[in-house]
Amino acid sequence: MDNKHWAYDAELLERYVLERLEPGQREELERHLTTCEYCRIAVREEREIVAGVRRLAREEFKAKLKHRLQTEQASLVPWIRLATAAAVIVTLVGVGIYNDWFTWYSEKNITEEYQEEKPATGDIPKRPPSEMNDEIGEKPASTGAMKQQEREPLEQKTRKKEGPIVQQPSVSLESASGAGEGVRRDYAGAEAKELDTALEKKQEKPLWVQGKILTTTIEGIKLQSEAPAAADRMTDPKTSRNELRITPESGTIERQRITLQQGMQSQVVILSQRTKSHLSPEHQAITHEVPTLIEQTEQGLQFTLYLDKPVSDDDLRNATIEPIHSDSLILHLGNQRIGYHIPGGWGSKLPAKQ
Amino acid sequence: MGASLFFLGSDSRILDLIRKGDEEALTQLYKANRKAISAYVTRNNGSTDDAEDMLQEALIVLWERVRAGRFEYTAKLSTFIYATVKNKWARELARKRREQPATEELDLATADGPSVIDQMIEGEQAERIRDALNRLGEPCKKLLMLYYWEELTMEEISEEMGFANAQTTKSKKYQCKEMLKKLLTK
Repeated sequence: MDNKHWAYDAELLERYVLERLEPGQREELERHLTTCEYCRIAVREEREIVAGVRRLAREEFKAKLKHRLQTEQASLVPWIRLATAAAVIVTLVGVGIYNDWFTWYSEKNITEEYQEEKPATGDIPKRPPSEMNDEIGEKPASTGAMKQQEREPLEQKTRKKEGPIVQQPSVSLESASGAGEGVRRDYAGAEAKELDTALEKKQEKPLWVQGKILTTTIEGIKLQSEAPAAADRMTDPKTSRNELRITPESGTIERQRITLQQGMQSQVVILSQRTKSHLSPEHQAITHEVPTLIEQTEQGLQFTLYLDKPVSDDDLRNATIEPIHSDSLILHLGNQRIGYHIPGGWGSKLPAKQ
Repeated sequence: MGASLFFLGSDSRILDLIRKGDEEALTQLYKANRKAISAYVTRNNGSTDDAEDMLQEALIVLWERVRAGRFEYTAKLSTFIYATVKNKWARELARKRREQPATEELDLATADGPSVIDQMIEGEQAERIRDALNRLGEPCKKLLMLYYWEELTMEEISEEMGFANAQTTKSKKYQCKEMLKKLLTK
């Protein structure tokens, strides 16, 4: 069973990638994949198709959902505004009516009382009726203070409304300021030094990393070795500043030296290559990745790439490195782009070669 | 108990709508959960835009699972949405921290999630397939999406797309996939 290519059965392959195989069948296929590169490639391509379709489907669905929700929100807004405006008008009118009624009622009662109690001799009029006092909540006072008393309850009510508004904490401002700090921090010089020191302590031996082959380009990457191009790129802090210094050995260019700089990070990388035949069989079987040994030398970091076939002298001479993150680089070599994730960062130093 | 039965009733209606492919269900869920999600995300270093995005993502997760028959109702839908947003927001915050220049974050290599290179590779591959799918056009694009994303059966796809039967759908799916592979190798 292990001799045949499982990839010939497209349906079986698909069911494996979609995790629809029975456990026994899945284990058998996985055993086969450890030794069959053809089937591994087929599985990888199948996974890419499934992942790509799902990703696009999700994106389109999300865009559709977003549009639907925005349309829904937009159609509600005029109604909300109208309703709010109407509520405000009704409230104002209501308060106005209440004020008018209250004034009329108060004046009416005062007038009636005055008329009822009007002394023949011109004495001071009595206090307003008791029910009015209850409503106001104040002790009766002289006529002259009546309007003041009428005003006070309303003012008390108003103050009660104002109090909570003034005291409400501004929570959103606190959280916003908290969110801003972390995002705004820059990679400053002192912090870079601290990082370097910490990373130096962490790494103690040469490193094996897998360079991942990104999509290849047909034209290849052509290095512009003239100074102006390099100088132009220096204005962008994230762009590498590459200087080529060719170190010939035995008449053959086996190494290439490239200087990198990104912000406060800088590094010298020396490229060299060997064939994969120097590796163990299981490492030779790895496809779409370039086993690379990274060692610290006196000149900088030496990258030894183990390739299926060595690249030409021209390709090595024209190689460039693009730093894209403090721990990630892309090596442009011939018509290939090889991505490296370097634990601890490429700006750090590995121990000197023993 | 009465409260959970009440929620089950309204949640049940929502789930039925989703199974039928009615996106109105998501609109209802969005309105019902918007305030709570916004409060959570903005309290945790996010903006209102982040909150909107997280809520939409959570709704899509729910849609995917229900349509694929992988959703198990063990709690209120609002609880599911809240928990999904919490997880996604935590991962998003971690991703944002990784993208910042390292200061106190010394363990770049041990950070959770894919490296920058892995993300680039994934992005490039996705771009190739997106381009190929768009060139493939309808109805192949829709058929492949219903099969791989919504994980509908051949019978369900036949019904949705108006094909004669499941066998016809299976045959069309095979043809569409072969065309897609050809476009990808160009």
